[in-house]
Amino acid sequence: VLSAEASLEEQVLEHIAEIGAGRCSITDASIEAEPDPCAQQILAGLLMLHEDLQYGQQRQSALLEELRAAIRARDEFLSVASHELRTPITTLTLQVDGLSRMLHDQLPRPLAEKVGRRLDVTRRQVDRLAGLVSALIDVSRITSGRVQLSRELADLGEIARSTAERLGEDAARSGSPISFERQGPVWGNYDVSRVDQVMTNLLANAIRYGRGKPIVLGVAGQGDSARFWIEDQGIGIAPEHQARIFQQYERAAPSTSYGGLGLGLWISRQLVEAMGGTISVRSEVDVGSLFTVEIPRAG
Amino acid sequence: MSGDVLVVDDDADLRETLQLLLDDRGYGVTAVATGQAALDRLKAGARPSLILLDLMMPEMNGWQFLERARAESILDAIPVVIMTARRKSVDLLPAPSREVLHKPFDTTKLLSTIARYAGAS
Repeated sequence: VLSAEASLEEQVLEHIAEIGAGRCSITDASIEAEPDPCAQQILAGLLMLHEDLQYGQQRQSALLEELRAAIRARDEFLSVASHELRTPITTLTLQVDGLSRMLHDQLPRPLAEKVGRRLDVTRRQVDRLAGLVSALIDVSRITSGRVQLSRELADLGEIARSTAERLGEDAARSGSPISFERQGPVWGNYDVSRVDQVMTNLLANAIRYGRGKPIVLGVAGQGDSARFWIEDQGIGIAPEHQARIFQQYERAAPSTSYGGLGLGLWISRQLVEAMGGTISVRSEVDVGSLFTVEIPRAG
Repeated sequence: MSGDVLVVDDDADLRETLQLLLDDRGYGVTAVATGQAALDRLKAGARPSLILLDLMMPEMNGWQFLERARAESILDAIPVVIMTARRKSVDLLPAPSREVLHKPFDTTKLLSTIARYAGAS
């Protein structure tokens, strides 16, 4: 009730402060009891304001909860779906291996060569499928905070050499041979398969966007930290896209011209940061890109 | 001589693939589709050198199979290699299982793992 002791203005301000804090002492009865019709209207207005605000807040938390549930459902689906895909990929891999073996053991040479070329393509496509599926699994692992590192003593140069060797054939096919730069061993405690994964992502990008020009993979150690870099002479990345490319689903190249899920650099950054390291890019359009990763050697 | 491998997997094509592959490499192979079928074989006296076990299977899954077989002391002398697409479940691996093959695995990895337990002696 707007009492006579305090001015109308003071009391209104008090009510507004209350409403702001999510409370309201105005009731239908207290409005009825107010003798001044003008003050009655003000009180009724304030009560309505309070009710609208409360309704808005409830609606907002309901929507937020719905949104969270939808994200949980999406992540759960992503995880289940990607795991489901692994069994058929296993069977396919084993069958292709089996066929390749039979081929060389049992078929006459000209036929073996022809079939062998088809099997090589099949094998590469199965590997690619397996790669896409593990990217999806990484996304679900990273978004649910389940990245676990298992470190072991290793030479970063050796990891890089074997990664470059594995991708050598792909690189040669696209006309971008990988040359390897290192001075000496760079020993440290690394999660070998995760480091390999980051290098593979960066090299695959260099091959994809490299316009058939040579690629350099370099490794160096300095004090407590180890560094590797991948340099291409490809299409490059415009300055305005350089920060964006490390975000989920983002890509600088148009998806109408280049394939891929838009996840490689995001996954790479997440993994490098989980290792306590950093990833950065220097690039110029039509000149090429240089990606540098620095990780601690001690782990 | 290479040993006998008992394959337990509900995926018929993967079962067939493993059977062909292991058969080809000189292993004796029996492949069954459920944990129950595997348990029945073991109860009937089968003593393979190795059990290659899938985890997610209808009826009796891999976990239940391991529990039941262990309760009957069948697994005391038989190593188990688990084939799974999930990583999380593996942390809770019960005692008798010796090793985990993460899907997708390739022929080299599969054969080297099997050879450790059931290879030519």
